[in-house]
Amino acid sequence: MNGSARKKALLAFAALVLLGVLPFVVGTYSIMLITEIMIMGIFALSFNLLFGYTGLLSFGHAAFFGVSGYVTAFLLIHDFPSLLLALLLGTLAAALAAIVVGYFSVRLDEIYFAILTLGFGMMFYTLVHQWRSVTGGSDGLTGLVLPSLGIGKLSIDVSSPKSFYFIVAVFFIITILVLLRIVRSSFGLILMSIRENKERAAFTGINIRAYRLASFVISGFFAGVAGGLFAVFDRMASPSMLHWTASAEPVLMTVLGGAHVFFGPVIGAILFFFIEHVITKFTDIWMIFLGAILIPLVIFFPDGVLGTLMTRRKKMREARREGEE
Amino acid sequence: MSAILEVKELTKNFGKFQAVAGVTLTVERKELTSLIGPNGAGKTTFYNMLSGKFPPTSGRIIFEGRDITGLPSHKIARIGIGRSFQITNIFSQMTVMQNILSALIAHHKKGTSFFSPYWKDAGLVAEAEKILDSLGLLSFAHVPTTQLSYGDKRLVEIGIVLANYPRLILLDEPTAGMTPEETERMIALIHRLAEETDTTFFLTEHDMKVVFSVSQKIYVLHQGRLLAEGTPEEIRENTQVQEAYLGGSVSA
Ligand SMILES: Nc1ncnc2c1ncn2[C@@H]1O[C@H](COP(=O)(O)OP(=O)(O)OP(=O)(O)O)[C@@H](O)[C@H]1O
Ligand SMILES: [Mg+2]
Repeated sequence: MNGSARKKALLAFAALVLLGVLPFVVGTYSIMLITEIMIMGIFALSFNLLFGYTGLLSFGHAAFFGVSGYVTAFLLIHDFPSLLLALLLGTLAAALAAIVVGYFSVRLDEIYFAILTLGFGMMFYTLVHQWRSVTGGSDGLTGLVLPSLGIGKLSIDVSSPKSFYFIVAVFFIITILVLLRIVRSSFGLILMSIRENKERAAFTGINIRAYRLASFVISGFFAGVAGGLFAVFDRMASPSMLHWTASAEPVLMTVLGGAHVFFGPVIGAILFFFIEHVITKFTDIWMIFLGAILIPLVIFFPDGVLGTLMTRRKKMREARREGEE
Repeated sequence: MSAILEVKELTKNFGKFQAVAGVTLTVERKELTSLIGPNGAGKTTFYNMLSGKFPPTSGRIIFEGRDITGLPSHKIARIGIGRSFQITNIFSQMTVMQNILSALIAHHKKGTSFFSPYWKDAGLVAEAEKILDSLGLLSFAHVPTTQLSYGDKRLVEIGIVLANYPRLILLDEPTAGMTPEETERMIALIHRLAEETDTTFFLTEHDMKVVFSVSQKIYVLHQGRLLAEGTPEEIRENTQVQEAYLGGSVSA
């Protein structure tokens, strides 16, 4: 193992220990806050597979987040026996929705793609808002009953914030491992090539649409993981989960943290919640202040906070190496 | 000799403007063929149709006996036609190695490996290194292409094309914008590749010195129509061609 790989392994280990220890040293409020950050981190990571790695800006990602949330909630208010299975079905529903939306959207580029996904997102929002008999209209689906987490004979009570924290942490880690693997695979390199130059990619024999669709569906799947968890976390699914402002959240988090570094969206999610919670202590109109903070951040950290810091560190290291030569 | 490419009455209209007007020509296997013509003659448009960037308005394109007219670019690439572009067209925010690997992955249909890291595929990396070595780019393997000189960027594009192992390579002005040294290097490379591989080269050029030094067969395009065809000697002597090039600069 070389130096940088060892450093990375150490960092990963430290993060794992931190995740494991935190719920025993902080209060319930913080446990829930970190749980929410991890859920939104999954959402932002899923979004960034499409944005940072494939070069497609989706403005309707809340649709998949919401579809999964509603399906999971629907099952759980109807006495569905397994939480994990409910989450799985919700996630599959999100992936299915992503196949349909993606099929039409990946034909388009840039702003047209963004607008089409925004349109689809609004359609899904209207659907859950109007289809009262199933979705509960503007009230949403409330009163989720959480079955115990049945894995074989083992049954775990998930209703306490601490145990739910650990369930979310497991999903968070699995999502990171799977997505990390995907972006570093042959498939991931083809996605990057499409992002960099889709014409050149097409002329080397790559079917752009097929790869974009695959990326879109994987992305929708993980947005679904986040949405299902969020419904369980909130004990409800509400139309606000699919509102276009909910689609803007992973966009903001990703831009905040950095789209071209894998962990950028996670850092962005942490910053986003930190900013929100600090400001809401002083004022209710926190969105205005978020805007006021975002503008200088985007100006001074054009590649996101993590992205810019890493570029800077790399440059410094290169300068030092040149100095030594 | 047998034809690798047969083009029949190929036409492209942009609105009322006819960029390519009923061009019929043949490229023989392993015969280095050039398509020349003044600015706006329709050379790039012609290549765009051959490579599937857009379909022709009318006409047929037959590659190795198979009708490929109107197929999308990724299919034509898979069938065996590679191309470079007049304006360098590579994957910019990626290393030289990644540029070549991407094309190799596409060629070997390994793009559906979702979980295996591409740099751990030793066979693939060795293949990419071989291609980079043949282009003299091996020492730049891990350099982002944004840091390369103009000439090296153009070589990377050739590398991407080679990584598809096409049987026909279309080069759209391969020496455009190059320094004299870079041009020399490119000509030598084309000569070498034409000799060492089974690939047939079909190129467009502005630089007459390049055209006459590399071509075995030349087609001349003028205002979308085929004006002349022949060996370099025949084209050099052709008065019509000299007129098209204003003042007979063809003999340069
Ligand atoms: N997409 C397009 N839409 C409209 N007109 C076009 C298009 N592409 C090319 N043309 C026109 O068709 C004509 C032929 O252009 P083309 O690029 O094929 O010429 P060329 O022979 O490659 O020229 P050059 O030597 O400058 O590269 C030009 O008049 C050009 O303006
Ligand atoms: Mg041209």
